[in-house]
Amino acid sequence: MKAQGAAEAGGAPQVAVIGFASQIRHVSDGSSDAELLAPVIDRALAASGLSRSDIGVVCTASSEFGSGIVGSVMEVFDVLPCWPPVTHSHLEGEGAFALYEAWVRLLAGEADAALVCAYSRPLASDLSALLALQLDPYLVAPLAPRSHQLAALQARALVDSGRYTERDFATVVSARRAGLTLDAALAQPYVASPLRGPDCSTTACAGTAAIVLAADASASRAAGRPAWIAGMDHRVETGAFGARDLTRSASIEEAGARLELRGAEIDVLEVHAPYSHQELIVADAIGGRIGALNPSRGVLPADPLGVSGLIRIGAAASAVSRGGALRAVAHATNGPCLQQNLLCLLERDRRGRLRAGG
Amino acid sequence: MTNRCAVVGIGQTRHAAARSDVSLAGLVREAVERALGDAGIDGREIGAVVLGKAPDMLEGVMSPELYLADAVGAVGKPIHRAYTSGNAGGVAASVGAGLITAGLHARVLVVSFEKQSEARAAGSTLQRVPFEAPWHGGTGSLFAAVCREYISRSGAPADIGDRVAFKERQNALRNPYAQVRRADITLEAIATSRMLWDPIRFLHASPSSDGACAIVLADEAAAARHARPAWVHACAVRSEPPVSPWHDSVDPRAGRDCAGAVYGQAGISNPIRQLDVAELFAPYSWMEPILLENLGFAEPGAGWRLIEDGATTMTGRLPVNPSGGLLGANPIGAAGLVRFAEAAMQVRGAAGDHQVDGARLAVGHAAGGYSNCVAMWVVGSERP
Repeated sequence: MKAQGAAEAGGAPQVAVIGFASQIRHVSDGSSDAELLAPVIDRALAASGLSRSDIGVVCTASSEFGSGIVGSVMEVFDVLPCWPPVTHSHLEGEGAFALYEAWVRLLAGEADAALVCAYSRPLASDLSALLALQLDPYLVAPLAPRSHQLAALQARALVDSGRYTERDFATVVSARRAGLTLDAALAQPYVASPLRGPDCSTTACAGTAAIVLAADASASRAAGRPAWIAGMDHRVETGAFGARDLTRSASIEEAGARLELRGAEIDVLEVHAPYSHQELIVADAIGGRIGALNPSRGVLPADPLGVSGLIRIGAAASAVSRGGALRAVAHATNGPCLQQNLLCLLERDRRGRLRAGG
Repeated sequence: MTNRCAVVGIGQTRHAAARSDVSLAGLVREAVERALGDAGIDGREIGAVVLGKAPDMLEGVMSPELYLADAVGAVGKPIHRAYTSGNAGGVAASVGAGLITAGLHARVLVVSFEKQSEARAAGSTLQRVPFEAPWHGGTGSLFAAVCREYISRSGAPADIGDRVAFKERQNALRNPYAQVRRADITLEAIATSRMLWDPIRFLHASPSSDGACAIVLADEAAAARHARPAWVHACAVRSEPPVSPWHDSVDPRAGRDCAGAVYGQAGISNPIRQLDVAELFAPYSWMEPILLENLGFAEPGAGWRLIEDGATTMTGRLPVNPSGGLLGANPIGAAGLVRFAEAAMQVRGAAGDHQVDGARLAVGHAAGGYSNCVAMWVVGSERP
């Protein structure tokens, strides 16, 4: 299972997305995490053309606070391709970061192919309140600010900066939410001024996503056209909101610069923005010449915690492998007010990997 | 085209039942500053940070990499969270090594922590599906069943658990960072301590701990600037389903395969002869003979004989856990990284009073879940 792609490619290996599947359910039918995940893994593998035994690395992600179960990964092992044992890693958080780890492991030569899965089945009745647990546990979390309220501080700062108005937020909303006009969006009551209900993503849903990655030789044998990962970078900002300029994203600017995105042609940009105004901040920070922004409609209509970012990568990869895009960028975020951000650059042609580290 | 990786800085906190003198951030910062100081570098020279941590619910902080980004010096950099299970610290080290090997960064900081005093680990790790009746067994009840099965299979004498614990507790006296240091410890005190979960007695068990560990990894060019790097000769992670017809809880294939993978990468064909020291993740003394067999140091059923023969003591054929192991301190999320770091300290000749003379090749091990998730590395004083 040792990678031979590096030698064949005559340089650093490159990795591609070769299979993707996802599912979102708005109504719980009592299915377990494993039951929700199994068909999605099967579909992603079928799309890739690989079999379970080809997978040498499995990276999974979930939120145990969301599901209320400690060690929830132990309950999904039944459906993971982990027998015979493989390299497996689980993280609590956004699945896009699990994909980053799988990418690193393939680049390091640990295996030829990887499966990345994220699953979310939130039993918590009030996710916006739960997310306060991401904050400084001594000084901020005890105040129990809801994530909507923190996002509203950011949205208010953006309005005050003069760059955008509530009408711009509503424009985003009407583009993402089917059947909601701009005026209808503006007529909704505030949840936390200046954010209205439709500005906040719909989190009451169960979601699963699976992506198959493969290094050079295996990727070339894939069933469909590979979407090559030309580069990936993620950055985190301070946990102290007061120390950040909330109206811009320094972490995306940095990651985007390393991927040489500023001013570049981007056919498709998939943004993980749980609040309408954040889509504007993310797109500005990337600063590319963007063809289509969130053709998948993004995460406002359905936002399964910890899965949404991975779905963006899958959607961007699909745009490349099936939709005719030459370059697509996926964005994923974690934490309050876009504190941590990841960018994944996908291209139709293999041209070697950008050295985005440092 | 992969890059060599070396450990060039190591730091750990004073481990204690309750480090109420520091916050979570303060605890982590203590280990980070020591690791950077040991490496002799400034935090600005770190390209990326990997944070290993067992389940978030243990402290009740969700995605703690967000809150701790400042404390570990990650602001403006990538910070990657590793978890998986009790092997979190080992998985974190493997991600860090991957970032170096893949050529993405020249220097990576790997940090792991646990602050059990702000948590309820024993209870929360056994919490299952909501609305199910709680099972107040304690984590040790899971291991006790495994140990009983091992005794039944191997015919190990009843005092093996006492002997391992005595050896670990004596070793811990040489380790200034160990939390449990009982100068008056005797074999008899261990053998007569309270039975918790038969055959596991109170003094066979690891304590609840607050602690953190940090290491600085560097690529070959960056490592050239540092004295005494510990070179990573091999690193692997393996997991298998915890409940399946194939899962053998005494001799899980994940452990066997993980050991096979690192020995293969490091060119080791006879681990007990070629390795100079082992740091194993054994939260209960009875787990040590089990691991000695699972990781290929003894034939099945013969691990306990190494203990009876004294082969695992400081002056034996294969000193196991010169640091005192988890019986000295068990900050769950950090405990795996401590094992990896202690292995590196040994081959750097920097282990102080618990240094094994002439150690050149060492193995570090971390395990979690139902012993179904394993991470290991082999480090050496010589460049691979």
